[in-house]
Amino acid sequence: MREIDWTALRDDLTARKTAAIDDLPALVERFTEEAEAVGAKVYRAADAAEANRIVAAICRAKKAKLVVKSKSMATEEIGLTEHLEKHGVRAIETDLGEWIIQLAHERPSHLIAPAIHKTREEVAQLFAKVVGHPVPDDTASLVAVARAELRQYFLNADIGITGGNALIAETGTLLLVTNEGNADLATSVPPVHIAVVGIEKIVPTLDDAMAIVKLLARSGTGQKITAYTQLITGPSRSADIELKTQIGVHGPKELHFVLLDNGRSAMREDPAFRDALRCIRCGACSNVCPSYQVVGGHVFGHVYTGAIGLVVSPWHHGTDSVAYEQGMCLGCNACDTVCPVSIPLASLITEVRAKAVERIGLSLPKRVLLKQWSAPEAIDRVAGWLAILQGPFRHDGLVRVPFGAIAKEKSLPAISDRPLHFRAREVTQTNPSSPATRVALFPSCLVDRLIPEAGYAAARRSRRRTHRRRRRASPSSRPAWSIASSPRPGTPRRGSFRRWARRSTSSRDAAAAGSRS
Amino acid sequence: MAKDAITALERVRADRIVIPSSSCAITITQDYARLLAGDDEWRERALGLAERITPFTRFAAELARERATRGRPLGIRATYHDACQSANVLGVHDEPRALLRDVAGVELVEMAESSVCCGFGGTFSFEYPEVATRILDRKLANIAATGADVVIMDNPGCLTHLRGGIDARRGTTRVRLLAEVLWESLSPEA
Repeated sequence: MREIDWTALRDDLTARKTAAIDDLPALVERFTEEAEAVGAKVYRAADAAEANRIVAAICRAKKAKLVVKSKSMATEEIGLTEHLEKHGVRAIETDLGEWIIQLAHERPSHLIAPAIHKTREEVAQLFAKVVGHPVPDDTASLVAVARAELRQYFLNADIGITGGNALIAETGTLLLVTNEGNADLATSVPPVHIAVVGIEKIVPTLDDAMAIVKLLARSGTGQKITAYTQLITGPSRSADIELKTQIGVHGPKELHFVLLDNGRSAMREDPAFRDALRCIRCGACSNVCPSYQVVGGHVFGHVYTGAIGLVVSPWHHGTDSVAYEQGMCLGCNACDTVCPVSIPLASLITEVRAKAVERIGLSLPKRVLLKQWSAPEAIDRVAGWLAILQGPFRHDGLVRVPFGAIAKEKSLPAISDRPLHFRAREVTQTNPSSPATRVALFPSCLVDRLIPEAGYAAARRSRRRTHRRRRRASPSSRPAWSIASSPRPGTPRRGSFRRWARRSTSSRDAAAAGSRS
Repeated sequence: MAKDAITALERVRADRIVIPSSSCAITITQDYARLLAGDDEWRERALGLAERITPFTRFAAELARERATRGRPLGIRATYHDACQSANVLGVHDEPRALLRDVAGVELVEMAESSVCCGFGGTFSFEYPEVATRILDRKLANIAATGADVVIMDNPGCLTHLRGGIDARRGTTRVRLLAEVLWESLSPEA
């Protein structure tokens, strides 16, 4: 098999999407113009409520009672199904996973695998309620039930509603990809098709849409391309009879686009979060997230799940939507490495975290700990208390906590009674008198207090290098070492920090700031 | 907070500042500049400081390469855990393996999912112990599957988490920081 050049594809798509977001207002105009030129109707919805009103109005005008839906995160975002339900329109999800969670009255737990949290036994129970008799719980039988049940909805639906994987401005075209083929049925059998699509999905050209096709399935499901890839340009038409164009032959007579803003323009104005508008909703950031793998999308995210869910939810559903959920991010940055459009997810989550903390505050233990930890004198004091408390439970540099969830999880590192900065002199005393390079070691709070022997090794290990070098070069070319006064995360009282800095740079054998050579 | 740290580190009279903790190195070299993006003067100072900072593993690899360093072979079988931020942000992968193999004569056995987070995540492991435990269990199973006696890494956060997790489960695998292993191989006295 020929290997693909992932980096090149990713850089290419990142550049294309960045350019599209930069040019978004013009692209919205162009798409509207081109789509209307081929007979579609285009509406713009500033927010969820307006989008819901527009779709409900079309349903009313068409006297629609039954709607089939193809999987769409944009309609999940605005809560369209519930809204239509209130207006007496029954909306049936036709993507297998979406139908399962609709039957369970839940919300998707993954961007592209919405029912990933359900077992086949659970699915069999849900389906049994639909058909009124027990259903075998093997996958083939379950799919057969869905196929038979959903077919009647496709045939009887008044309207088909979809999202969109991309909109192509130059031709007014909708790109839709699925593996099940449900979007093809939903967009060809019913007489009316409505596509609800976020404005960030607009790209200038067909070529740009193909760049998305190349990476969407690869990043989402590991396929080269999805089973079904549709390009829809205007309603169904024919000129077979006397070359006169007739709209609506086998497919819909009407095609409506609802272009959804709902916070996207505001995101575009934000220099950092603008990058997140590149998202093509592949779900790769969920798949690699260690925390998501444990807790799932109902905890990790809001309507949009996974890393991107933590990033975009505040813009679509308010800061509160993920104020607690953001705490599930470990900060491991795995998401950054797989995103096909290079969204700096990890750092954007950090920004969401900062806003969430402003809103809900920190837990009491965390507040106390951080406050103490940010003032150097306080660290010495707290470390002293802990060193006494840990006494009875200490062994081999570890403390076995006798109670609580942490006891089962792990033993804690014991607080050292001889932090690394007490040993600075040991490292610096053998420094050469006129070094070639001066190197400082910033020990980090964990190394300094909890595993000073490792930091000592780090410093000594590099000192060893300097000895070897001395044998070869002249003594004056040796590097000199020091242990940097670790600037603990700032202090509410700046004065105390300065006092501490002065103290640590004074004659005390602690935290020698700068070379003593 | 960042400004205080920058001021203090600027005062350090050294050409380079080596940090044996990837998270700290990343915070200072990348997050500070982003945090202070709105303030040109401070942003410049953050970037200036960042130029002097090197994560320990990079620094050690550089020195070993320049001087073709060889230590005492330790004769241990070990597996290497890629601390998630070292791997995902700094892109460190080959350097520590080369150091262990070439300098310290360590026999390395690769574990599955070596760059997947161990579940520490700073305060995460204390706030959500149930989640952290399950992530840790998976990591420990991957380590155990290698049959190695020692697991080595370059980030102190992972070290405390893995060492503590193995102790709570009464395991015997030893957990060492890359620097410790290298120093053991290079220290003059056995």
